[in-house]
Amino acid sequence: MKREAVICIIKSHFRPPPEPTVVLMSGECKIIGEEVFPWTRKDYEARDDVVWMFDGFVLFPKIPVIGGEHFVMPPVSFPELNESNGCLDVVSCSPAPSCDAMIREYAGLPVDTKLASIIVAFNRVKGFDASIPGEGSVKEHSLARSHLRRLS
Amino acid sequence: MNVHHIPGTMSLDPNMPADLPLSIVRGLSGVHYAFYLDKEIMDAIMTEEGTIVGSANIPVDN
Repeated sequence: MKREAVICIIKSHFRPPPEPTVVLMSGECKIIGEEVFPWTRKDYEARDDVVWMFDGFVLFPKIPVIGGEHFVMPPVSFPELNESNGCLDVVSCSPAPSCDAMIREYAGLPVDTKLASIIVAFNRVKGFDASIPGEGSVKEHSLARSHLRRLS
Repeated sequence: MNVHHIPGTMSLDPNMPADLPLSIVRGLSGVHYAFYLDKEIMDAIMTEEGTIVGSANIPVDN
């Protein structure tokens, strides 16, 4: 994720993703399978050009597989962050379970299988003041904290 | 919510003022924690993601 800022979200439940979070691609970068959500299942059930690989995943056998295949976790849009709140090029993804565990250990969070993580990355709109009025900036807050530490 | 503080850019302290993007994310339904990741953990994540293999040993590109 080559973006200026990366936020990790640890969540119990969340809104459904706007598009598939995993696709199977051929070596020629053609989509030969994709994730199916319960609410998009009806779009595939009537099709005769798909094969169900799992309950939530279909293959498109009519598309030739040239150059092998690989799963891709494509960048998923994250509409809550956008230009109106100072964010550009916003993408999200779900980290692998081992990365999820690494983040929690690094952050000192307990292991909790009921929670999952999402990573959101974005660039910042140049000149946009992202501080929240009345709360001071993060930088100001950090300076105040170090000042208090020096006094104590 | 538990309160943890990691020195640097990574803070889970809900009392520490967030900037606008972080406060928006923290306000979303179902979110328990939200915090910026620093370069150290991002580098570790990128390295780890490079080792992940999917079902039937199919490579994974995340």
